Amino acid sequence: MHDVRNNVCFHCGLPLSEASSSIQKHNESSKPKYVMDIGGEQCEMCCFGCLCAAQTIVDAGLEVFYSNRDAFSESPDSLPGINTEDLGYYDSSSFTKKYVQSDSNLSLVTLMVMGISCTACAWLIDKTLRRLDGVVADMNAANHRLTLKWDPEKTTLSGIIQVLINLGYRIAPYTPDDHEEMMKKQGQQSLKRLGVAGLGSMQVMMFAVGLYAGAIQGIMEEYQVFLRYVSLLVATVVVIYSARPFFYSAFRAVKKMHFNMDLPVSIAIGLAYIASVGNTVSQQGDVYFDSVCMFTFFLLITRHIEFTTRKKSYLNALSHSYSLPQHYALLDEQLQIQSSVEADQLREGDVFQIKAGQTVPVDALILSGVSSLDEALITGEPLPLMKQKGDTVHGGSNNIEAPLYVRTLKVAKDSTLFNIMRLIDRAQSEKPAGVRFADKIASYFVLGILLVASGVAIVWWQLDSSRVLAITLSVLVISCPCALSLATPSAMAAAVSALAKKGFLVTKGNTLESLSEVSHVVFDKTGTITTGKLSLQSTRLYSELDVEQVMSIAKALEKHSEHPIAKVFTETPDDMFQPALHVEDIKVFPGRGVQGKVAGKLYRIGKLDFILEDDFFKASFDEIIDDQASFFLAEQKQAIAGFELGDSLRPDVNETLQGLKYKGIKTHLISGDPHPSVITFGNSLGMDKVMNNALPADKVAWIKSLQDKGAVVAMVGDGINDAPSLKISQVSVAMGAMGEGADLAKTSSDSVIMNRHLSTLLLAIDQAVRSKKIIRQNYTWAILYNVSVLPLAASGLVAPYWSALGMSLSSLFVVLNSFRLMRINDSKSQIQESTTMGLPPQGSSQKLSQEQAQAQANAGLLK
Amino acid sequence: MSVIYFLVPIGLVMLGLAIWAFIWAVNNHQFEDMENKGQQILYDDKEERQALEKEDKIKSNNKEHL
Repeated sequence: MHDVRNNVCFHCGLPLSEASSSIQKHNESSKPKYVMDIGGEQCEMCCFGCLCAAQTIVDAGLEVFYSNRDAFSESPDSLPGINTEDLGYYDSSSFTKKYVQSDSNLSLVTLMVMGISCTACAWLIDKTLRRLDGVVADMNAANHRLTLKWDPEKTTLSGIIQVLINLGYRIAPYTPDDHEEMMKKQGQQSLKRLGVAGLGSMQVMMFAVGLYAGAIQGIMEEYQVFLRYVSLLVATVVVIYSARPFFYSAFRAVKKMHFNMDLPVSIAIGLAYIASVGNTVSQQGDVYFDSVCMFTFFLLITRHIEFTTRKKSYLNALSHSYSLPQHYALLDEQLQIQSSVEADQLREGDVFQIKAGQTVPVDALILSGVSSLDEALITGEPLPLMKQKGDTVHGGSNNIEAPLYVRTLKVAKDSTLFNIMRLIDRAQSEKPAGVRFADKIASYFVLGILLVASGVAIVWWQLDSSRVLAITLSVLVISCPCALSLATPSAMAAAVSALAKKGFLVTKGNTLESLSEVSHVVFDKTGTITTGKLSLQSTRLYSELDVEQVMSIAKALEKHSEHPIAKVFTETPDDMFQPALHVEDIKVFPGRGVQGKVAGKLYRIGKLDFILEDDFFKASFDEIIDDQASFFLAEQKQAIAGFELGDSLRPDVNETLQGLKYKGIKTHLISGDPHPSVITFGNSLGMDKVMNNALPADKVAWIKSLQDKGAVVAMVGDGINDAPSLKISQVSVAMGAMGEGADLAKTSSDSVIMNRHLSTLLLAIDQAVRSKKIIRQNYTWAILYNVSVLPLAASGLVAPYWSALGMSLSSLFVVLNSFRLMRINDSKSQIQESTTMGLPPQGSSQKLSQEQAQAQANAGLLK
Repeated sequence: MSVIYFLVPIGLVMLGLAIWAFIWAVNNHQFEDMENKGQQILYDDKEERQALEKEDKIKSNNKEHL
């Protein structure tokens, strides 16, 4: 599929306008375009990352990748960022000790590759790595795992990883997962059972053909006995080896006084087998070895398919939960670097360095250094806090600005972050686990079948005792509620794995069921409706300098600061403003601002109080009272510019809200932001209800009051401060991206929007509604089938092997019907189509967006 | 018909071999990546063909120039 669509990135398929949204506001015309010539076509990319990846692929002569793939690649920008200097860690002795094995003179490591979207990705990786000297690679597309062997004398691991990064993928060392190992073993076991049953059935069927033919044309007693004994031999292997799980499961269930569908299955298999053995030995009556084997084989097929889908969706979830390894420089008492370690290797009392941009791994005491820390994850406080020597930093917060030298107070397992995680775990396990609908039905059904079967047996005992066994078997087999019990799980597995591919990860069992009934969606503001990243909303000029001059000065100064606000200025591309200016006498005040000399003049950039603090700059600022701008640039006694910073709206908010409205779902905005402008902002978006200044407890109360009125509430939020409200709503959706570390909101929610596109929620709701429909179809089919064939079997019209076939076909029908959910028609056009239909007329929506821009501007940064 | 006393045991032995081979394959992870490996050869093929086409184009272009 050579997918060249308009307005989407050629490489990753994201909408084109989105990536450069922070720049647009200034200068629409100079918006940089990333265009490349691939195979004679002009292909437009959304960002620099995609362009680089495409360039690497084309340069390697592998552009055929684009025609082979059947899904867009993941945007490199949506994957966790990497610092090129950090790559050295992969060659360090501490990494080697932890992950790398040695195989004769080759080194061996297993890596998790993030960003694999289809088999063509695996081909691309295989192909590229094979060209490297001294590297043997095996890329598994199913579990996204790369087994790498390399010759340490010819190349380095960091070199190999650099190649993968250039292709647009990210790497994390693979750490074995117990559940996955278990599933793998289970999968192998089930495949072996299936294979033995299949081969055995074929063999027994062959003997059975001989026996049936013999029954019609006559067969010498001696041959008949021989064939029966041979069939007995093969069937015994199948029953003992392949059918064992049915017996175990039925036995376990009966012990708990509970009826599952393995009970009639076991009874049917056991009864048929024992009766056949008896008849073989006594040399009279019929044998059913063929039916026994076939029945086992067909049951195993449907189960294996269901298991494989389940395993796939688990692996999918797993590969999304990986994050890049964070490592820290371990120091001695003189603060000299000793070695690098990972968080779980830190011991109490260790002194180490937390670089700017790193996550704080454990609770620790600052020995030296001043920096701002983002504790949003733990406290919900959105603005960074300044911390210095003597302060404690909490595990899970983010070090933003400057390196800190700290001493470990508590090891990773006892740190704040992990304690909160444990609390959430506990809350989760205390949730009453509802008995699943399907199990309940199947349980009654099984009881019914057993009663009917014994009734039929008693009746036929009176009528014709020679046919009792055959008919009872037929009844048991044909009415086996396999299809019934597969109805929900097969549909769920298919729906969930399809959604995972579209960037919506479902982590809890009944999420889709609740999602299909959602009546209210409650949004959090920061980080959900907005991107949660600061951007420049507008610039005010107070001197004769123009915007470009001001921006280039601001950029030159802020380049030296790590504060999040600095990024607003430094992330604008170079070509947009004048060539970079040279700065002298630079002085960074962590958490407050920057001062420096540009072309001989001294400038200061930062918050108002920082600038006013020094009399050198003071004077003219006294006149400027501007409640919008929050960040200023000044020179001697002269204000130059004020910057209004804010949080920008996610690009697909409108689309999402209108889509929800079209579905008849109410939308609410609850924000912790105390500023009244939130109300206008929310109203301008077309939210049904807006609430500002909401504490976590208020959010919970709000949702509870909705639920009391019978609403099914889905809460969309991010951050740990949303955790209580996420927990109380029927469906919780967290915004997050893969590889972003152990985000608490993510771990406590029912589902995660991995691709950070709010509109994915629409897709998920659609899918949930569809799966509900398909599950209903499955139930209807299964019940209808069982009810209609039961009388036929009971009246003795169906031979046991036909009933085995019928039962299997019915299950297969259910599984195939569920597989329809594997496909999602996600073409944006469809969503847009449906949204425009439910929209107010064009004119008013135009106006809406203007109001919105205004309201958004008002809401900016006033948290 | 007495030949079945000879043929059926042979059949059973072959069944045994087939089961052994299958279990060996499963234990050696032969079924782990069903999607990828099958497609790889096709991708390689396409890539080669595209490279050849490219060469042809260059050649014919060169001829035109001559």
